[in-house]
Amino acid sequence: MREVTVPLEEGPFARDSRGKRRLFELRILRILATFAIFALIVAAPFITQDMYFSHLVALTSIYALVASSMWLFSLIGEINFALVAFVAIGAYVSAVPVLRSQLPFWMVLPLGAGAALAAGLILGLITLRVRGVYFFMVAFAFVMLVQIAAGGVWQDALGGKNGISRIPAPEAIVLPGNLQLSFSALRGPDYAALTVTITFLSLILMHWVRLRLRNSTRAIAQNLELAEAVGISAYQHKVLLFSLSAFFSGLAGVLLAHLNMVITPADFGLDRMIFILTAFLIGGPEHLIGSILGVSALVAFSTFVSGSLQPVIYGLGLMIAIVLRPQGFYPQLKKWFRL
Amino acid sequence: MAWYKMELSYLPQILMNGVQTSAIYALVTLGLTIIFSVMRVINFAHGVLFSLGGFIAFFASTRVGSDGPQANAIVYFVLAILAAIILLGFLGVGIERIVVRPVSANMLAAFIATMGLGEALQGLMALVFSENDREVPAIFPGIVSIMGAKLSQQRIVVALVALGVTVALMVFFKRARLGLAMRAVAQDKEAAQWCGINFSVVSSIGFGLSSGLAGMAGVLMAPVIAINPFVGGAFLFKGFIIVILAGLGNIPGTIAAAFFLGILESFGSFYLTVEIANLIAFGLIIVLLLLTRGRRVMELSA
Repeated sequence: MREVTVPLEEGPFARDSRGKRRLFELRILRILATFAIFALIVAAPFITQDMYFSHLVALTSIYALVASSMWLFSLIGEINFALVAFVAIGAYVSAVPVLRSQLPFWMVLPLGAGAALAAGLILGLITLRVRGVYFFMVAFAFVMLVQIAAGGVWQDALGGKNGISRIPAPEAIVLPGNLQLSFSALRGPDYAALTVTITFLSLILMHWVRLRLRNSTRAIAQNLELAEAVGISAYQHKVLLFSLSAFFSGLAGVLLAHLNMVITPADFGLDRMIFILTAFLIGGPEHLIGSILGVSALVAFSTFVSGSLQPVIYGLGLMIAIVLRPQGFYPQLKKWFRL
Repeated sequence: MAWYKMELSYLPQILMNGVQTSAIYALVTLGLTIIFSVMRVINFAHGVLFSLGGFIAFFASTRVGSDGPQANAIVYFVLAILAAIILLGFLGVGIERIVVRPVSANMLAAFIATMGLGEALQGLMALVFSENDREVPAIFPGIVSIMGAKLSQQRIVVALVALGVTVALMVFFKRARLGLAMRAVAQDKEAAQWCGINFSVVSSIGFGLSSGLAGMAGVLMAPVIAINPFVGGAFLFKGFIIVILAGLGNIPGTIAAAFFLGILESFGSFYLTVEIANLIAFGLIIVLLLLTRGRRVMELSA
């Protein structure tokens, strides 16, 4: 699906013939701008002191993390349709020990993400040898299965169809400089700051992974057989990126469980998968920032539209996006702003 | 502890329930496999067409009322089956022309496009018909006892009709010109076109046939299960498992895998729970993929 071409860019961020930025200073400027936007997003909930706004910021950053892990796996030209299952694994594995063994949040955060990583690694090792349609179907069967298992197995811990509720707030963190992030029962701006920070760090990590693997992933996406012929192991790359995307989704799952305080099997079904896929495709699947823009747009949109109408619109959006504009809207935006 | 002896007498019952579910699984999965063979596309909206068929049966049954004569109910049931085949068949042709054809060159894009369509249709159904469960009264309310097992006549009729359609389909693919044309396209699209087969027409008919089958399965299943907009999703999930077990395009394999899964589920949900039966089915797929390292499944698709 991914036809990677390197267009000759125009404007202040143009590259020379070797693909290097022409102006080193401007690259620093770009990094500074990224950090400034990050600081602004962290600060916004503190300034407005609005609980609903803080919740939306936290929710957007969590789904942006899921959508960008979809981007990470899409670098090799495939889609990870099982992401929602890893979000569920992260959420359940973090919520159960908090409630049953009173483990602190800071211990279950790596636990949930680690469990998702392990599940992703096992599933990836087994299924990634299969290409194409069978891989999609195994991924979907896995999503349905995790949902069925969450609703029907080990009911006294997982809570069956009603799920797990009353997940307590994380413990406060003391920051240098007499600052403290204390997470109230309603979560609020402090929790939004936490989720935005974790998402931001994860995005930097993903960007770094992409830079390290830029050429090999591009080769696999363009022509798998040719890439293997020159000695790139597509299987290793796939397993690596698949388990990394599972890890980041699991992390998002932990954050989501502790934001909403309630998790039910219905939160991790196909509806949510389609929400994430729509956001990812509408934003622009070729770019990391496309996922973030897509999720922001859809979360903002979802506050205006009633819940029962949302699946219809997301489904239509997904269909129209893939049939009419498979490259997403980010390239269009880029053209308008001449970036 | 004589529990095994006691439950042994339920054996025919469990088997018959399994056979009846399997026949429906086979119908649903054959639809998936027809589209894939002809167009190399997985239709994710297949489950929604099943739910639509269920609603057609529901609206047909409300026309009869609960106290009408049985002959009336049978006539309406047959009419519902015909209506589902015709309406959903044409809907399938529309889907193929408008949604699938522009992206059919790319398997992943076609999969995502039908996924979006399925989600939108399911959401629309939930808006128009509401999300509540609807009950369709049994058309054949009697009970037959075979070898000590008490079976509802309804389930037997459903199983017989589904089996009959499956056999008819197998004959269709062996004998009929159109069926042979579809198999030719599945084997080699370009060579089939050189022999004068119109791919555009064959793929539309294939999509329509498959959608009609999904709708028919929905009508058949409606008196046995509760109908809601999401009911087809579970059958699509089972269809995926069967397809992964059997390989796409392998019609005898699909039927065998459907019976294997249906009977396994029937036993599993009797002795354990439905959830654990599903887990076992998925575990089987994983074991199969491990054993074959994906190769056999790939060869079948090629």
